[in-house]
Amino acid sequence: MPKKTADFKWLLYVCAGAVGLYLLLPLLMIILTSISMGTATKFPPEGLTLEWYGKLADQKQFLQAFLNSIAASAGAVALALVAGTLAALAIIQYPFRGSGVLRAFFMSPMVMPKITLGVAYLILFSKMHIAGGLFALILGEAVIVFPFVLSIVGSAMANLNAAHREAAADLGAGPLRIFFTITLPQLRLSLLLAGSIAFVFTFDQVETALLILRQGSYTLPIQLFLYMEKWQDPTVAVVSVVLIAFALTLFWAIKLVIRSAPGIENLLGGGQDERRS
Amino acid sequence: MSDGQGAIAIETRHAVKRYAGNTAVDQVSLQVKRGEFVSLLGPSGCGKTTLLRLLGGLEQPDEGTVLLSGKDVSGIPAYGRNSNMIFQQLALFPHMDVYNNIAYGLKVRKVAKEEIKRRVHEMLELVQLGDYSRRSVSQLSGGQAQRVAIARALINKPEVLLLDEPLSALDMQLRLDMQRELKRIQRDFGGTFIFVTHDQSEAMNMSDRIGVMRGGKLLQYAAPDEIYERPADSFVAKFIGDTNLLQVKVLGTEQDLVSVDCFGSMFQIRQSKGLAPFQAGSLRPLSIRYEYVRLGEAASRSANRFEGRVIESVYGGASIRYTIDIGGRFQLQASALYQRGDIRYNVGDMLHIGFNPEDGLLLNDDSSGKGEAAL
Amino acid sequence: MMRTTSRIVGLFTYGNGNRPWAAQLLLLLPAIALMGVVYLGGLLIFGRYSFDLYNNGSLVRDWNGQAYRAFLTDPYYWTLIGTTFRVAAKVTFWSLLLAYPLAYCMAGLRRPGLKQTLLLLTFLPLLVSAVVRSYGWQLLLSRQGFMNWLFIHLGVTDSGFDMMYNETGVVIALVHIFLPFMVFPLLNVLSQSDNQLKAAAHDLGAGKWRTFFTITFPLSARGIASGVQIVFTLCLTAFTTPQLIGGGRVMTLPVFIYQRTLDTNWPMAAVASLFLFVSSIAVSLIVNKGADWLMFRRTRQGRI
Repeated sequence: MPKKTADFKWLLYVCAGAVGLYLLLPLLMIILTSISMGTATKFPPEGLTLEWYGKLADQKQFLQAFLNSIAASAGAVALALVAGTLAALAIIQYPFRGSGVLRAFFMSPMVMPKITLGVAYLILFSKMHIAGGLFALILGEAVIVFPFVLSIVGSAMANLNAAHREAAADLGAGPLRIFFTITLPQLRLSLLLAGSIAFVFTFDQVETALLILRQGSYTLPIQLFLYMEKWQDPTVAVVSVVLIAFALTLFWAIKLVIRSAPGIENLLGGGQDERRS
Repeated sequence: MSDGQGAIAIETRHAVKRYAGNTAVDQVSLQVKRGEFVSLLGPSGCGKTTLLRLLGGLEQPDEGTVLLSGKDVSGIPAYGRNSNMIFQQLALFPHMDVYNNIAYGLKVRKVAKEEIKRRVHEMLELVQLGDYSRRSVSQLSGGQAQRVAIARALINKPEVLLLDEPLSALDMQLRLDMQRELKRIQRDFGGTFIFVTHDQSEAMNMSDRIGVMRGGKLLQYAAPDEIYERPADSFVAKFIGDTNLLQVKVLGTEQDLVSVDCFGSMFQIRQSKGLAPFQAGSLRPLSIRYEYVRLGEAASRSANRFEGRVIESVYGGASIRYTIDIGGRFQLQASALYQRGDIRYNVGDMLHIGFNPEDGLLLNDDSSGKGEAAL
Repeated sequence: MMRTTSRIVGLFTYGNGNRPWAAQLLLLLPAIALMGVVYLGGLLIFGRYSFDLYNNGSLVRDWNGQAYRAFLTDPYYWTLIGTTFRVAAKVTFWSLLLAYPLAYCMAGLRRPGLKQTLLLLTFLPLLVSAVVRSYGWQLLLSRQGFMNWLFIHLGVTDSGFDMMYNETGVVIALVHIFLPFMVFPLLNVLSQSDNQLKAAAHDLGAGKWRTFFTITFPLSARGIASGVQIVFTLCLTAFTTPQLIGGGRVMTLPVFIYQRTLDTNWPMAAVASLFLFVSSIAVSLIVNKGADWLMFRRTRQGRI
């Protein structure tokens, strides 16, 4: 009986390992392609080279697209963080009649098909004469990440002790000061969390950006998307590798910040892992 | 009360606070003198915490006014008032250390850095937490957190310090220590303290005056001994100290002695001063404190005498509490001081019981009927 | 003077235990401006187009149900809907099949290091743009790609399979993209399901498989339901991967909406969008209710 059990465990590990490999395979393939010789992407590659990385410098449009992406994502995240936090203050701390409906409405972009939103934005922004630019994209993306902020920051806010605010008011602090010295510091980790998730999400957003942006303001995923529809050379792979590296750096940086701040484990549910292991 | 400018620290006049149709505070008028230690006492939900929050400006009265040092502060939010509160759960700021918690009020007032430092350390000395300034609040024990909360509130030199059951989370011994500590701090600091509690012994131990509340109403507001000796109604009598409450029928009044019928026994009760004469035939609660029920030898000298059988005896160290059955008609609790060698009655013993006319109190019916409906 | 200031301040502070409406409104203003104008406004204007007429590349303002009628009656659109749901169903099925052992394995791991690594491995693809991941699959699935090289060398086929620009490729890539969304809810319930319960079942004489099918699997029904719900709705609305891997030959509703938008057939795009939105909400509700019903029936049976 024990032997049989052990065999099943093996099988399970093999399955899990295979799935893990499946998850990694495309990324590994991209890395391999980025250093392969020849313009045709085929396996096995004809040889290995770093020349494509060198040629990246000539592809100015990718650098521009990268900067556009950063600007658009940062703008959208900042907008969503401000609007979301303020809305959470109103809805969560002092619920009013109809706040449930308002909250459901604010959360609804989560289930709205992105392509639908993209078309809606295209039409709306053309009418507002701001279509094509990054500002339009920022507005549009802010709507998409708004629910993340509202739910993450909102649930953190619901867990705050109201007595802290009362104590501060009692000690002479006005509403603004209470917000900045009591509420905000206690929310900083959830703000960071919501901000990072929102940033990654907007950074990779295709559907909306594809429809509303025009040449010159393309973001990186869009630039790649359009490039891929036309060409198949390893430039895409090189850019992808850079993107992967960027995502990883961002991830580790956030992880480092979060690790240095105590109490975040509960936020991420990591506390549970520790208990189990 | 213009003469109260100096003497009255804080005052409410006919304050009313309603929540969704319930009246949490109902026409309360309360005056607290400067330097007094006042307790607001009552069962949970009696409105004492709401009253405290009205005093602190965390709630605003629907009717009536709040006066701080004679100045009308109704409508001014908490941060505009020079009173400070200690919350039930203390509400220390978890993202600040002890120093910054205590300094918060001064920083808000933009006091100079040096001055803040000096005063925080002064406060730490006062609450005897000298070298804890850099501790995180999560590392404090219950008693230490208590002291930090006190220091944080007192550093603003409030005209009134409001305490919302701050000791309720502590265990018994620590609680007694903190009661003593609070009194010491009040003595050293010399401020006006208003203390909310549901624990009558805590209120008795600490207060100059006690306000007993029920159903949003302030039933009685007086010094502890007066509340104990002359409770305003049967609720106050039962809530403060231990007492037998018997439903009696008034038979008549002769001079200042009232004759009452209690389950067939005739008792003489001294008419308390200040109360309107009792109508013959009316039903009233009669209160007899446990320790005023005389037993055995002592009973024979009492004006009201009868016999009973001990059905329970509880040994309490310095005293023994007996439950005595009076001819199957009613029961009395009696508490007798006990020292080694004294007579001790056993269950089943028959004995003489008595009490004096001035030890029984005829009370007004408690107004609880309405009060309970309101909350 | 003092009164006036306090009145003004009072407008923005806690009045009777509640924040006054002026402060509430001020706090909600940015959100309402953003969500009201950009989101709701955009959708309403777009929705209005569904009643317009589309005539050979030009739009005619109208109140007309023609686009709706065409969408619901023309068999072409039903094929489209069929493809979309079929792809979503396939992807959901394979995701569940792949995610379950992975989640089960992770939940059972006692070594935190290994567990963290697996968790990171699952989480990692989420950080990478769908465009990049789709590109990775293009490389793998193309005629001269790694998969065909592998299959040929293993002797499975001589000439290689067609995996790009068809449904197979789209499903393979979509499973990869949405797998994490299946793993996390499963991991959540599997980590919570009590080891003691398993031990008890074991003690009562239930074998490994029996324990799994009578204890673990039913207990994870909630996680399966939420995983299925998330993956299925994400698949219905997925655009990037079907567009890139399908190359326009796998026509799902989002791809269709995109193409209609490009030829300014906004009425049809709007109707398809509405259908997509309604069906993803309907799927969520059905999966949730279905899971409730199943769980309920199970417990009922168990008690009798």
